[in-house]
Amino acid sequence: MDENGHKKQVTIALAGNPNAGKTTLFNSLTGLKQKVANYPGVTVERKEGAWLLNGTTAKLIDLPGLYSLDATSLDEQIASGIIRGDQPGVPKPDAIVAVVDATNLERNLYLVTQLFEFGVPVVVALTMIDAFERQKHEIDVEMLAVLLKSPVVAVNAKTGRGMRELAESVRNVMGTQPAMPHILDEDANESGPNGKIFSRYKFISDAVQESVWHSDQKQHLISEKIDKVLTHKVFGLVILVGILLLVFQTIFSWASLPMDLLEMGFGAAADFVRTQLPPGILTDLLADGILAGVGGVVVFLPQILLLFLFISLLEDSGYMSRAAFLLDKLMSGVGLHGKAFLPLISSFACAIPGIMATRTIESQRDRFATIMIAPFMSCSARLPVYTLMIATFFARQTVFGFISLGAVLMLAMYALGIAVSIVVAFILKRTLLKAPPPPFLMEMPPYRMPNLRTVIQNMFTRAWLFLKRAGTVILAISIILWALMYVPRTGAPPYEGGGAGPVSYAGADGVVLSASTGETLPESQQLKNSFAGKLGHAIEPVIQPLGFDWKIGVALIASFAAREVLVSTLSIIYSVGKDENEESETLIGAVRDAKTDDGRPVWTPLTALSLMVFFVLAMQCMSTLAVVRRETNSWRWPIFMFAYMTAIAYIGALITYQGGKVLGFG
Amino acid sequence: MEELIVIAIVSAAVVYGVMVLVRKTSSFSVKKKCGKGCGCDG
Repeated sequence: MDENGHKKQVTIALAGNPNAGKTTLFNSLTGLKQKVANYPGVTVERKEGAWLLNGTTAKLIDLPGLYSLDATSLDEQIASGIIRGDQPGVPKPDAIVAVVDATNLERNLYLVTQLFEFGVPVVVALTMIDAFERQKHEIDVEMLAVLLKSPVVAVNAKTGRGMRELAESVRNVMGTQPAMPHILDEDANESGPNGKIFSRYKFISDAVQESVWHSDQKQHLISEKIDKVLTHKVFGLVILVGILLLVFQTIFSWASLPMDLLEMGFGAAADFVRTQLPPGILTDLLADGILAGVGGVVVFLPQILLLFLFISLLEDSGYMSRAAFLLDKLMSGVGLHGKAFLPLISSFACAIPGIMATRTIESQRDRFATIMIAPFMSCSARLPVYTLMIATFFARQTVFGFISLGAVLMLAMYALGIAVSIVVAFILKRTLLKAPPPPFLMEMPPYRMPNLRTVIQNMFTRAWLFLKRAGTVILAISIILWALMYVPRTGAPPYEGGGAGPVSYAGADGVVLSASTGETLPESQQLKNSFAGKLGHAIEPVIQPLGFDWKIGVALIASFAAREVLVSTLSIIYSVGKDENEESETLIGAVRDAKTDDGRPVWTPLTALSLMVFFVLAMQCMSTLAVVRRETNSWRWPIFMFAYMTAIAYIGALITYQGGKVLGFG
Repeated sequence: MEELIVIAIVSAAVVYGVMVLVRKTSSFSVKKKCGKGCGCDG
């Protein structure tokens, strides 16, 4: 009865995680007597139906699918509003039926523990029990009910199992004062080691341990023991660093032979073109532009394949989640949302899917902060640049006599990206994107043997994407860059005062016969005089403090289209500008032998390090900027991203080069 | 003849580059259309 003496209609709320079987149960309980509308002012669907509850008709409200009641998303706000009785037009429920998927018991019970805290009686409807039992697990329903201090009913909407018992249990609990099954410190924070979230999970873990028996119990115990070591704040990090070092070291050693073979193959193809075709502009385009440009990038295919082989193995075995858990402590410390992990981990392959994956983050500020730092994660396009520099200047050097210096440097580049992203996130979350981070819990998948088929499939998908990019975008950029390095062809004195003269053709011997003067010019002079050469010289004063000459400048400008273009551009530069007396056959040799006008080496190990630092930190990907524009729906964010990342990259490379010189490494 | 082939290849590369740029930027102007059966509330 209500306060006016009218018989009040009983209201029951149906709550549960998405895909827990809530809709199936709702349909089974209400039949066709359903009403679908929206909650006022929002697009969250409101579903109601009539449930015949042992003689009386109750109003059954299907709450939106939820993982928790933390009120961070709209669905969660509405659901908690209904349970509290604050939602306009919806009476406070007399009881809640909590739909719990038995196959995901721990995750599903989290919502149930929160439901208890509202003081409304709860009945747990255990779904997917057949699938759970098929997996050779057993659940002691009575024990679970005792531990939860509430009725628990195993149901199957399709067979009708437990439906009568569910209705009976709901009738029995109505009007009773529910007992809290777990102790919660009301003054405690939500997150943190002594927070409410931790207390709820502690209770769930104990309750599941008491009431569920797994056929693979032994395996579970081993998993827990392994986790204690792998997620330990000190040992865990040491193991993570060790695994990454091993991965990079293996990539370098295993990839060197196929890389040499590919390099030889492209070299032979260029020789074949030169010997079979008459000397001229077309031969130059094919040999110096297309084969040098595309070949320069494609030789890194073995490394890309190996990198993704290891990433897939780590992901599939369940280790990646443990690595994410370790880094989560760092990230949440600076105020980043826990859900930022998946996007950031994806960004190690490519920032584009990473940025798109930020859609799972509800808060716009948290989402934008994640988008802004995602490109700092070293993507696969940076790998050719790192590898070229390492193979040229740091190959066959070791640290402590057994760790490859190349692997250490590679790890350092990945770590630098993560470190700078943490600092940037810290600043952004306290200035432009100020907001407290919501609490987040991460589910650890069990350890398992990686599926070979998935691993190989993933590896070849990435390899195909890499080759497709080399055959389309990189090919087009290589051709355009070759043209910019080839023209104007002139016999006039190079660079200073040199204007466009009549075109003449380069011979296979690497000299140019000028049609206007009949004099020959070395190819290096011709390159200097080209459009690209002039552009490189124009920016040289700006990049000189970073240790870069104008040729690196040309490659740097080109790499703003896509990072790996640096390698193809350097390959074209050193092919086009190769004089007849130069002997280096490979790009590594050409980089090592490159000299300035006064005979000093262009590249030193410090220059290579400075360039690598620049590549870790700079925003050199047009596609990423386009995706940021789309995801933020504004030009302001991609412009801001480009500006701040380029500025950080410049400062980082400047500190590396000038600092290195001061310390005597120059 | 040789120059013509080279000019054609370079032009094709430029056109392809411009096409890629246009394709990437044109996705910005695509507005989500709401219609019957599209799954949105409109």
